[in-house]
Amino acid sequence: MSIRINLDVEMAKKKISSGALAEQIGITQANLSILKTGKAKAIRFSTLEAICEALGCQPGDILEYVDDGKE
Amino acid sequence: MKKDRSAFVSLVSVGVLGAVLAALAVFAPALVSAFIEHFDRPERIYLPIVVTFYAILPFAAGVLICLWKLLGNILAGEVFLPQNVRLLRSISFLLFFATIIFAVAGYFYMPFYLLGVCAAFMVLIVRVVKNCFAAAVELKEENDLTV
Repeated sequence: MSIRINLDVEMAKKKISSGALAEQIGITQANLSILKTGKAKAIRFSTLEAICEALGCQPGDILEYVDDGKE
Repeated sequence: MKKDRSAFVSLVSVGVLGAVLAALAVFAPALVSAFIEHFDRPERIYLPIVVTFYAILPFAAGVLICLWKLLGNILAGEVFLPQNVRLLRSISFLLFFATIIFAVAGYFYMPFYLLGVCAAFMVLIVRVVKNCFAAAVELKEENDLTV
């Protein structure tokens, strides 16, 4: 996948647990896990907005494009 | 609720058809004899009809088993599953083999050609439904993995 999720890095910086973040942004821990492990196929703007608000960061801090050579 | 009832009726119908098929498996030779006698048909068609029936029987039973499993999943609320796509694919293959048997049997008893054409149409219909299911499974997966 060419979009890397750096959510765990941001969470570690802010020292926030998965449970607490899931509760703050209003999604289940299972869905947060899907996002953290890179299994998610899409992310809603509302979820991204809630994550950025909770972690005090920008979308670019969470999502990173990586050129893995795949077209 | 209404949808559940509809699926339940389909499930019961599959069960009834299974019972009819089992009964036919036992009484087919006698029924074919009675048919030939009643409609004054030549004796030579007895064997092709009975042989074709018993050749078709496993495929028909397979289709009923697949339908039973499919309807069971639908009743359990699990409609767009990869397993259901596989079941529909199996049904289409079983119908395809039945079409071939009817096509061969038609050489010995012409009306089987008609059944072969019907089975071929059913193959196409089931394949289209299978393709729709496959697309729906993909959409569901994408929806499930949207956070």
